[in-house]
Amino acid sequence: MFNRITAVREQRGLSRQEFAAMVGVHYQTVGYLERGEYSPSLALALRISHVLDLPIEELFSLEPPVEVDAPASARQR
Amino acid sequence: MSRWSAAAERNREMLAGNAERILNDTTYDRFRTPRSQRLLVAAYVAVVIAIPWCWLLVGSIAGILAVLAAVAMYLLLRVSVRSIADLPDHVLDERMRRERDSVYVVSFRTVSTVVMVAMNIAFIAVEFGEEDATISFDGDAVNAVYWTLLAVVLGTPSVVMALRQAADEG
Repeated sequence: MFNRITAVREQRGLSRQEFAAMVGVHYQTVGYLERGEYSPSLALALRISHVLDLPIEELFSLEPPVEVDAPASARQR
Repeated sequence: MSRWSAAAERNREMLAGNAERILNDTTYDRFRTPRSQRLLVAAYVAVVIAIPWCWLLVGSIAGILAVLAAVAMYLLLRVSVRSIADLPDHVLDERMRRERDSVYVVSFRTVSTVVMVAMNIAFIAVEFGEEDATISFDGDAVNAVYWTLLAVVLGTPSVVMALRQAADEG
């Protein structure tokens, strides 16, 4: 499973510790999630989407996420 | 609220406070690098093997020293894995609970294999060895079996956890 947690978290200016406290997990767990080494339960995925105020399907996907900030030529590659 | 449930609640809060301190501790991070964790596991295994050897072949004093070394290694191992293998559900997040549960499955298989191999060796030695062979236990042999089993049973979850974390971190 792929996710955009790192990008969105950094965009919001949240440190791993702050984000972990808001979601209610250990900061190391955030690291595992961001590296894609741990797939969260539905409950945790919903909590993350609630904290980041984004629909769950915008944060998690089964395909690698497309970088919206990348130039169009890079996206086509 | 009864006195019993009030005490249980106080105990739960105290445990949660201690667990939070352990889980966020950075003082002993030098014991949490992959290299340190692998070294600690190797040292613990060596000390556990030394326990019966010392009790049976060297003497009681050496046996006691080996047990003390095992206790020290066990405490360091627990520090290196932040005691995740021993903390209750309510202080761990879902990844840690899943990791701990999976570690206990591997630990159970490891401990049962060690015990079965030891029992099979004893069985074969008695059954197919010299006629009228028996296994007798003097004080040192009882200490050897007791402390070795205790070290294997208590230490295996932390050993498995340390090896897994070392592999995850590369």
